[in-house]
This record gives sequence, structure tokens and C-alpha cells, in this order.
Amino acid sequence: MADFEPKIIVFLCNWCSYGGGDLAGVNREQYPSNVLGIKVMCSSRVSPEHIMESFVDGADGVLVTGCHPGDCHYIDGNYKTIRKIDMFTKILEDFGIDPKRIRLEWISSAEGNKYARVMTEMTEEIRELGPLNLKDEVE
Amino acid sequence: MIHMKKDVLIIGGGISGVQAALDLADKGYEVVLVDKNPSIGGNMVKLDKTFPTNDCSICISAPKMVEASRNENITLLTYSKVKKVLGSSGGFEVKIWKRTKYVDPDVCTGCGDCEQSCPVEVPSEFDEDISNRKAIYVEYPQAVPLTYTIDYANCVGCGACERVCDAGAINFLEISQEIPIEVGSIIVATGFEMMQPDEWREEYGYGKYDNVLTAMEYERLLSASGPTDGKVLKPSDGKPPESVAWIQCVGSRCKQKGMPYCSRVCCMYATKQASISKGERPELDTSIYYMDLRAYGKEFQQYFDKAKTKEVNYYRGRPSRIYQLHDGKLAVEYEDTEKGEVKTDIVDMAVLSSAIVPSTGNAKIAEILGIELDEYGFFESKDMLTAPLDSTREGIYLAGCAQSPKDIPDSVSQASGAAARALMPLLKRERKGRSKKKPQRDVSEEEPRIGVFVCHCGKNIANYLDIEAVKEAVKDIPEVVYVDNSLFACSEDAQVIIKKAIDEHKLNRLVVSACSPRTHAPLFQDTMEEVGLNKYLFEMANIRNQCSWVHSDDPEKATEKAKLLTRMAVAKAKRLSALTEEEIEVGGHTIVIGGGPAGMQTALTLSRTGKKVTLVEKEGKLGGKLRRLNTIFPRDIDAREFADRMTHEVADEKNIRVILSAEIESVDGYIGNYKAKINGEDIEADTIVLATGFKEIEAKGWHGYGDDSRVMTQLEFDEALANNSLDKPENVVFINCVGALEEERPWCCRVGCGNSLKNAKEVKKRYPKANVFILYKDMRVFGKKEEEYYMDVEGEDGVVFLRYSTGQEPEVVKGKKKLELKVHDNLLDEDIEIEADYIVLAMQLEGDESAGKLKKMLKISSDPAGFYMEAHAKLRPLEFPSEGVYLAGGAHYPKNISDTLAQAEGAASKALIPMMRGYTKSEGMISVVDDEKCSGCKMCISVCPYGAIDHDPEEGIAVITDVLCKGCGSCASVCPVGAISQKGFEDDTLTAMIRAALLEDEVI
Amino acid sequence: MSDKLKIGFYWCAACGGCEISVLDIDEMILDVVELADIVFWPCAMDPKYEDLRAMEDGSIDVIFINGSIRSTENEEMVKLLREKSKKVVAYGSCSSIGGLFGLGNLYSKEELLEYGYNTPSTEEGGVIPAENSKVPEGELHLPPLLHHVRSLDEIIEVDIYLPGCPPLPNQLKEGLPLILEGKVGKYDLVSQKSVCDECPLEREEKKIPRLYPIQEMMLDPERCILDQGVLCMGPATAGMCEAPCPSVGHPCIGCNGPVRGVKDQGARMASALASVLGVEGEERMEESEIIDVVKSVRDPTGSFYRFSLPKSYLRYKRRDIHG
Ligand code: SF4
Ligand code: SF4
Ligand code: SF4
Ligand code: FES
Repeated sequence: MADFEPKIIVFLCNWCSYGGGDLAGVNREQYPSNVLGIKVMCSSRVSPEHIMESFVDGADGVLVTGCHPGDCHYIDGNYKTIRKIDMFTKILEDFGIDPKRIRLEWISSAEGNKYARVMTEMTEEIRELGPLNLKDEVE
Repeated sequence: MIHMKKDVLIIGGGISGVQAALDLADKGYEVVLVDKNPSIGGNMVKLDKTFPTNDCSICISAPKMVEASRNENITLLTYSKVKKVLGSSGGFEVKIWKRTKYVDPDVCTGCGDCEQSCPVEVPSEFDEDISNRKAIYVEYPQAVPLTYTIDYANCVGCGACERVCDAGAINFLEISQEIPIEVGSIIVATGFEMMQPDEWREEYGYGKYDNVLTAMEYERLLSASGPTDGKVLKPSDGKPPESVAWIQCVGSRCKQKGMPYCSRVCCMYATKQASISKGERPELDTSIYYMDLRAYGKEFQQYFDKAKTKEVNYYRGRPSRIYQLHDGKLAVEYEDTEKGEVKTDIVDMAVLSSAIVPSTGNAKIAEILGIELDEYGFFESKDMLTAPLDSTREGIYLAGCAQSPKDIPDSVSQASGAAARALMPLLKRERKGRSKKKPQRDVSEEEPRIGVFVCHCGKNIANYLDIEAVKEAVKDIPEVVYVDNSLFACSEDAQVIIKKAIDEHKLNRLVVSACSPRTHAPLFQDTMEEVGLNKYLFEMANIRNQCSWVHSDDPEKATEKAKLLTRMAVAKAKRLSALTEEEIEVGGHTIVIGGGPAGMQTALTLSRTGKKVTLVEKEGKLGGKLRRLNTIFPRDIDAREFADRMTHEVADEKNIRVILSAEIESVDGYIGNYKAKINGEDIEADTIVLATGFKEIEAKGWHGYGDDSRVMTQLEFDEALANNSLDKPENVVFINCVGALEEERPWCCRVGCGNSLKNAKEVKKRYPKANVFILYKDMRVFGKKEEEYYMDVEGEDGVVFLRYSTGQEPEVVKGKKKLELKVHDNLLDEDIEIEADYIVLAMQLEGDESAGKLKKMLKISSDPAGFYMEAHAKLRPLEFPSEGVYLAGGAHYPKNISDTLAQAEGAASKALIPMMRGYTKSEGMISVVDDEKCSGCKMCISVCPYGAIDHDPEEGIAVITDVLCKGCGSCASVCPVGAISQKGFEDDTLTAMIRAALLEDEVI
Repeated sequence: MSDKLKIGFYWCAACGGCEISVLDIDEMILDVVELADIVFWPCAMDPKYEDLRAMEDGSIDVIFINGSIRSTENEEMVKLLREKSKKVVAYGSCSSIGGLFGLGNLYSKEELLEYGYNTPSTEEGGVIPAENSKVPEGELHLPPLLHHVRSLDEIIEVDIYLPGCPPLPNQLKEGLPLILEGKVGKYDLVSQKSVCDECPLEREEKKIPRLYPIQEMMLDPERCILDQGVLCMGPATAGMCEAPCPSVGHPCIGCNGPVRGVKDQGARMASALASVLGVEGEERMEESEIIDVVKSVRDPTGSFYRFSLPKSYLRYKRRDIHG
């Protein structure tokens, strides 16, 4: 599937991961352009519905990012995110969607390199999995 | 910049200086913050993580720095020094020497083109010389201000930077200048330096062997944005080490080879560094060589325990030397005092926890300010115990490590406290009030008319992607009525163009497709407000940091992505609405709960600024624990006298009303609107300070307590000393850590060691012939003058220190006449028997029992030890998540008097912020409940970290208090019926962005 | 014929409960008959396909269709009914949101047939019905199953939704007259509020340590079931039923589907529950401990989507996981 260009939606929390993304820029770290970021104030704002919406609209992968546990700008938002994503991943699996298509990562605003790495890894992993094609599946 | 009239000068822009500046500026005082470096941030921003929470240091400190730089009441003078100070408290005349940076900060966009072109490389101070920087540089990527500086000493004058700077920010003709400033008070927050361990401790081979590092160097290696991208590598060969040793007390606690004092933070940061390294590479062998493991603070001991479970090895013993073997490995020679063996361990890397020493500039500053230094070069307090924040001169105050080594929460507490002190000379001054808002155009009835500006950022964007194509991609979206591009969208002239476009094209939404909103949104939002557009009608697409810079090798794909990002921003912009930040009035009345030293000091400070205080004490008398102490460690002053003095001061304040024997029946409401019922009386208040202190755990059952009156708790012994009711003893035994550092109550009580020491000293003073035995686990004395005190007591004849371990508790039996005590000394590895006249138990401490009730009423939480949980362990130790309630003293965690008083002043400072302003403001992007939908399931209530959501029992629905909501959006994602939406991040908005990103042909 | 309204009832893949529910309205049936003539009702009148085909387009004023769309026959019939009717009411949860049968969408139809006709619990070695089979009487044709269960609106346009499993008398008493008088919009009969709004049980702010299977709990009949650690779908379920289940101590199983305006009942419930589950002391836990509590939620997909799976975002099991 070498020529397949995955589309990946990334939810970025304003305080850490978005900053990590900015720092990756400052350091000119290169990573694939397949990721499209959507900023939320805290990872806890992301609902499973947003992830589903992304998948049915054609995303091949969804990445939720936030501050490291303990670092959440809103104290404990990301603990909720941990459980939400875990529970939701199980649901996705029941729906026959590869759990690798959803990923939760902690990226601090000092981790420009991690940001670039995660974006690269995620893109490569999804490329490996191939397109999800929820839109086109036989009905 | 000519003559400035300000209120307060703060010297030093580290975390303490910044905190003090914010505390004052938020009250309406104008502050000048001077730092000698090109950017503020001090030492904290260099750290990778902070103990005991492993918070990312830069992540938590950067927002504070940015806040300081944006605060209109704070003027930052970086790369500057104080040259001269004349006048006195209330009226100082200061001269500041501002060195030129040769870069106009108003023009520099921070793009970094210049840096790439500069041919000169010099070691980066910020990275402890491990990496290089250029002669034109910013200290670190998140630096505040984010503008470049030419370091004159290293610049070769080639002009390369000037040629590449499209913004034209570089000006070789700019000169340094002297700036005269008038202020009313001064805060000294010059921080600390780390001792260079080469000369003082040459036996450890620093400077001689590549793989011997200082802890700060190691910290930079750990830092994800450091010179090795967070990988720990041996400087000698760039390979990861297999084993690392930390050597504690390098230069600390040693009169002959450094400083006699304890540096207070090294045990914990070494533990942090080791456990983080271990977490990253579990195969790494980590050992810490220590003398006493001083894990004294809140959650420190638990952190240390956790490190041990991660197999970080601890050896008690101070290495005598380190030498290199022929294969490059390092040999650490030490005596394991627990085993009594001399050993040599072979490691790949050694990290020296070198002493915290005064900043080199202190002497000069002391001279300029006319204040005194202590014998080591830290600034001297007026009274170390009772007035720790005052320098030796009126009108000049001290914050943070400038006064003595301390950790971050203690520093920021002190900084807030110093801010409260610094406003005393300013009380008569007029403060800056609410800035007037420009009238805003009502756009609620208008159809969206969006203007899109695409920025070239010089070459930074335009070189890597097709700006025209980006414009093309959004220009046909029906709501987009204007599209333009700009060389530098953030430049002054671009603002003029934007304003004109808003006007001419009746734009009511603005999208800027450029760099990061984190750095640039406020600038564009200001522009919008100037022409009467609500600042929330703005959205940015980050096509630089998150596109052109990171996809520079593929212009085509970068262009595609930039198109989508811009499209997404437009989709969002279309759905934006004007938001307001609600204000509520906050009056000037505080209820201070707890009448110990913390509560009294808070009340005094508040009252002296003219605020009304109700001081509530459950006992019949003010004074708290002071009433039960004999003397106060480490100054041996009379505790009751001190309590009386404070009580009198309180009585003299007519703004303070004291309620004794008080019972708090209920507290309800929120900031500006608290309603309490105390002893049957209804009392309304605007803020609340909790100073409920701590208590000893139940002593019954420990070491025979309760069976024999000669076994007493430390407090009872203090009382006996004060009442002089002891029978002349021959042998007195102090047992430290009773009920502490064990599984059920793992925390350290922080004050027990000191109390035993001072009571031991008192016993020796009264009964010189008596023998005193101190049974301890680790001797945790860490504050100013405490280690010295310990050394004195240790040096006295007839004082014996015995070290015991958890699990090998001393046994006490009643002998014929005396108490018989048996203990296993783990240093001598011997059982020791003592016939004691008195056995004094330094009991574990826990939070006051009132916490159980109060935390429910105030919607805050406490930890398992019963101490309140502050908003943030590092940076917000005095506050709770919800504004309006503050914390001081032992209710936070046990602490000595000087820390308590500093914290109390700090808590007062925090409470004064909304009270002096007279209002508090909500965020704009808050969440709202739709009462048509809310079904009262109560799912959302506990989810809100700020207690902003309440259940309205009458309507049976949830209500969000605007001013308490901080806009995290958790609740919006929780509500199972979709009754909650977060403004600016509505489900519909997020969905629209997702669709804009993925469905390219769809109408957005 | 009179100028009374002409109405009809039709069932697709259904249990029959919806049909019976129509009779549950007691004497109100008289009012209905007053207002309308029932012109089509296979359950009661045994009309043939031809009879329906013969009807003029738009000749039925209101058709009430219950049951999910499972076979080609269901599909063809509802398309035909759409042509013949002015207004289509999706009656009951199966037609509105896919219904209980929708859980079958977590399996392929082959798996379902195999399970239904050839497992020890059904009839091992049984015969899987063929589309066409010869019997002594001649050739038999069975309409094949569709790829997955669908809600009615995936096939035809629906004018009014009336979920419920089945719709309860109170819903009908309120809704039927309005429907017949043409006074309701598409979603007006779907509540905006959840079952909790009508639930009489005493509830606290939710902080649930973990979930327990209901059989392991002695439930306090006065207190909110979810608060006591037993899964109740009340919070995420449209409440026009007056909370009959929790009122008698049985957790809500979510039969009404999501409230008006919510697309995905299961996702909402997952998000809500995950946020309030096991929060105590989370700040001192490792990530693995934090998610441990999620294990106490048994079969989240089955429980959260019990009635609304075909109308959720994902609708049926995908074949993305290989091997
Ligand atoms: S979660 Fe939603 S329905 Fe439940 S109480 Fe909160 S706002 Fe109301
Ligand atoms: S948005 Fe966050 S802070 Fe605001 S009410 Fe909801 S949970 Fe609380
Ligand atoms: S029992 Fe169920 S329906 Fe009733 S309040 Fe609790 S969660 Fe809601
Ligand atoms: S703010 Fe980053 S995860 Fe909550």
C-alpha cells in the first residue's frame, strides 16, 4: 500500500500537545503531512462521537493527544480521556475497526521531537493498515 | 523609554520574580521586572520535569511567563541590570542599565532566519554548554520575549543576519541605555546558581572526566527539548550509559568543602532524575549515594518510595572520591554506613548534586540596595523566623532562592507573600483600574462575512508552499468575502490593512492563516477590538509551525495541507459568535478559618490593606499549635510569647473580627458570594482562606503511649517543658517518625526532626547532665539555619543519635523504675538498650478533622493524609481549582513557622487579587447548560475540576456558574444528552472542522 | 368512502409487540377510529401484495411502519408503502433506530444463519434455509436477508419518529392525535430529555467506583441504580416513557434510543460513563490502573447500543481487522 496516503485527524490539547506541535515546527522536525490538527482546550473535550464522525467522513486514523497524566492544564481532564479512549477503543473493535486506527498520546509542549515522531509513526502505521474506507464499504 | 513611574521593581525574572510580578500586577500595581538574561524564566525553565508530580517544567512555567509578558501592568526589562537605587520605602529612584540587543523587539517576529545565517557558534549557557548557539539567539524555543538578541561579545559583525531579516528588525546602531524609574517598593528575586564542583570537590573529578556531570547538565540531557532530545548519552562517546550514580551533598552540608547548609532540593531531584531515567530505560542501573534522604515535602516520601520500587538503588554514604578506570568507567568509592563497609562501585556516568549557591550578583545588588547578606551570600531577612520576607531595609522584600535554597512551591508561595509585603508601602497609591472596553459592533444578526489573511512570514511560509493556492482554496466559500495575503501579517502595517479590510468589506469574522495562535492570536485580536469586533470572532490556521516548517521537503503536500487547515479555520470561523467575559463583583470581606499563626498572619495582612476579616477559631483562644509549643525551631524563641504578640496584633486591628469556639455549620456559594453559618450566625463573605492546620495522629498504642505517662507526644513534651513540669531526667529518648514513613501513612511530617532537635537542646540546657537519645530514620532538617542547628546539637556531649528503620521499631517496656527501650541501630548494626525517664514521640501529623466537612462545603478535595489538595503542587500551592478559596500553613502540609508565615502572606496576596480589583472575570469560552435538554442526571457535576457545576434542586437541572468555569469542555463531552456545549468548541463546530478536513467537495 | 383519514399499519422485522401496543391504548382506539379508517393492516386484515400495489399513490394518509429492515421483502414493501402514503411514521424503536435486532449487525448474516440453524444451542446440524427450495407443493422463495439490519430511514424518507419498544400508551395517547391532526414535526415525539428526567429515584453527583453485574447487587429501591454501580442507560436514553423500568428497580436498557438531537447513543453513554467511573484517587494511579476499572463495564457495545446500533455512526461491523 505504498502509494496510499492516509488521512489522519489529530485532536490537540491547547496547552501541551499543540505547543509540542509548534515546537516541532521551531525545530524544523520533518514529519508526514497526512495529519490534520484540530485544537481543543483539553483532551477531555474530545468525545467518541467526534472520532466516529472522523472515521465516517473518511479519516483512516484518529489521534488524540494531551498533556501527560498529572500535567493537564485543567487538573484531571486527561484522566477522563484515558478511560474514554480505552472504553471507546473496545467498542471500535467490536465494530470491526482495527484498534490501531485510534491512538492516544501524551505530548508535552517541550516534546517537539516526540510530536514529530508520533505523527510519523502514526502515519506509517496507518499506511501499513491500508485505507479504512467506511464511506465506500458495500452496503 | 524615558522616565518611568511605576509601583514595584522586581529584580530577577525567574519563577519567583514572575509570580511576585503577576500577584502585584493583577491587583492593579505597575511592575517593572528586570532580568539580566535576554529572556525571563530563570532556572525553572531549564528543568526537564519537576518532582514529585513529574510535571513538565517548561509546560507549566511557560504559560506563566507568557502571562507576565502580556500583562499590561508588567514592563519587562530583559538583558538589564539595576545600577543604582536612591530614596527610601515608598519612594525609590532606580536606574536600570538596559543593554542593547541590536534587534528591535517590536519588529522581530521570532522566525529564526537570522540564526540560521549566523556563522558564529558559541556554547549555549541555557544548555549548560552542552550544545551550541549562535551569536544571534534566543535562549530557548519558548523564550519570553520571543525575540532575538545579538550577543555583542561574540558577534563578528558580518551582517549576515541583517541581510536575511525580511522584517528588518536588526539594528546595529541601537545603543544601550540607562532608564530611570521611580518605584515604591522593591522585591529581590535573584534566584540561585549551582556550585561548580570542580574546585570545591575536585575529588569527584568534575572537569577532569567527561562522564562526570552536574545535576543541571543531566537535567538538560533529560529535557525533551534539550541538546540530546531527551536522550541520556555519555559525553565521552555519545552512547547511552548502562549505569549512573548520583552523588548527593556535593558542596552542601559540609563546612570544609563547601557550604554548611542543606540545599533542600537535591535529594528529590536526584530521585526524580533517577526514576525518570529508569522509567525510560528500565535496564539502566541507577544508584544514589546520600547522607540523609530528605524527602520532607508533600508527596515527597511517596515519590521516593516509588523510586525504590522502580529499583533505583540508594546507598547511605558520602563517596570519598571518583576516579576513572582505564576503560573509561568511573569508580565511586564510598562507605556504606548502613553496612559499615567501604566499597567501590563501577559506573558509566556520575551526576553531582552540587550545592545551591547564591547568585554571583548578590553582593553587588546588596550594595546597591543597601541591604545585608547572610554569611553565605543569600539575602538576610529582617527576622529569619518571624519576618522571612522582609530584607534588612524597609521597602525591600525577598522572594525565592535569593533568601535561601528552596523548592518551587515554597518559592512561589514566598513570592506571593513578598508581593503582599511589597504593597504595604503602596497602599495610598492609586491603582490601575479596569481598562475601558471599546464599544463593540453587534454582529449577532449579521450573516457571517469572513476575511481571510494568508501570511508569507517572510520566506518562512511562502518559500515552502503556494500562498496563491491557499487563497484560491477558500475564496469561493460563500461566507468568505475577502481574501488577502501579507508578507508579515503581524507587522504594524498589516494591522492597518486588516482594519481597513474589516471596515470596507464589513467583515465580521477574521481568519489568519499564518503561525501559531499560541504566540500570535492576541495581537490580531487586539487589532479586531480596536475596530470594534469581538475578539472571539477570530480563528487562526497554523500553516507555519505545523505545516511549512515541518513539511518543507514537500511543497506540494505542504500546500495541500495548508489549504485544508485554512478551510477548517474558515469552517470554524463561520460558526463563531461574539463572547463576553462575565464579571462579578467581589467585595472586601474574608473569612479566615483557623486561628493559628497561618490564620492570624493572613488576617493581619488582609486587615492592613483595609479589608474586613472574620477570623474563626474552634478553640477558645488564638494561637493554634504555638500555644502548645515551648520554643520554636531553629531560633529557640518562646512560642507562647510569639503567639501572644500575634494575638495582640490581631486584637489591635479593627478590621478583624475574631470568633472563638466557633463551629462552622455551613458554607455555600462562590467567590464574591459566600454564605456561611458560624455559631448560628449568618455571615457573608467574598473569599475564604483555609488555615486549619494539622494535628498529631492518635498516639495510643505507639511505644507504650497511654500506658505510662512518661511516654509522651512531642507536643505534650513541649507543654511539659513550657510548664516546667518535668522531673529531672537522666535519660530522655526522642523517637522520630512515629507512625510515619510506613505503609499506612507513608508521608513525612516535615517538622518532627526539627522539633526533636530543639527539644533535645532544651533538655541539655536545663539538665546538662542528662543524656539525650534521638532515634531517627533520616535527619530531615533542610531549612535556613537548620542543618547548622543540627550540627550544634550533634556536637553536644551526651546527645546520641541512633538510626532505626521502618519495621524495626523501638520496643518500650516498663522497667522497675524507668522505661526500658530496645532499638536496633542500623548504622552500628547493634541492639541498644536504654533506660529512659521520658520517651518523646515525634508523632506523624495529619490534616485537621474539619477538612472532612469543609471540603464538601467548598467543593475542594484533600489527600489521604487529610491535607487539602492545592490547585497545582508546584505553581499554585496557595490556591484551589475554584477561585475564591485559598490555603495557608499546615492545612496544606505541616511546615515550620517561617514557611507558614510566608505562605500566609502569600494566601493573603491571592485573596487580595479579586478583592482589590473588585471583580473577577469569567473566561470567554465557557460551557453552558441548555435547560431544555438537561435531564438532571448529575453526570457532569463531579467531572468539573473547578466545582463550577451545581445541581439546581428546584428545576432538577445542572447549572454552571460562569465565573467558576475555566472552559475545559470536559462536561460538554460528558453530557449524555448533549445539553452542555462549550462556546467556541460546540459539537457542531468540531464536526464542521472534521468535515472541512475530510470532505473536500462538501459545503462547509 | 368517508372523508376520514386513511391510515395503515405495517410490520417489517419485528417481534409483534408494536402491533399489540396499538391495542394498548384501550378506549382511545375508539377516538382513532372516529378520526381514521384503517385501510391496510396485514396483522389484522391479511391483504395481499397485489392489493397494495393496486392502491393509488398517496392514497394512504398516514402509514405506521414498525420493525427493522432485515430482508429484501421489508425493503421492497416499505418503498412501496412510501409511494402509497402521504406520511410515514417510524413506529417503535426498530424502525426508528434499528432496534434490538440491530445487535445482529455485530455479525455477518452468514454468521447469524450459522448460529441460528447450526449450533448446539439451536439445532446442531440443522438446515440453513435456502433462498429457493423445492418442496412437494412446488418452488418456494424466501426473501434473502440484507447485508445488515437497517432503520427505516435508511431506505425511505420518514416524516415522524415515534420510538419505543414498544411505544407506550402514554406516548400514543399524546402522540396519535397529534400525528393524525398533522400537528407534529419529524422529531417532536422524541424527547429532548433523558429517562433520568422522569426517573423518581434519588441520585447523587456521579462518581461511580466501578460497575457490578446486577445479579451481584442488593439494590436499594430508592436510590439511583447507576449510583449503586449497576449500568443504567437512563442518562443517554430519550425519556418519553415515564421511566417505568427504574421506577420498579430495573435499570433502563435504552430502548427509546438517544434523545432528540443526539446521533449516537452508545458513544454518548461511553463518554459519560468513562468520565465518572473510578475517578477516586485517579491522580495517584498509573495509566494501567486508571483503565482497569473500564473492565468492569461488561460488553459496552452490546449494552450501550442495544437498541440503536443500526442508526449509530458505524451501523454495522466492518471488516477492517484482518487475521
Ligand atoms: S450531564 Fe447533561 S443531562 Fe446530566 S445533569 Fe449534566 S447537563 Fe444535565
Ligand atoms: S467546561 Fe470545564 S470548567 Fe467549565 S463547567 Fe465544564 S467541566 Fe467545568
Ligand atoms: S436509575 Fe437510571 S434513569 Fe434513574 S436516575 Fe439513575 S441513571 Fe437515571
Ligand atoms: S489541558 Fe492538555 S490534556 Fe487537559
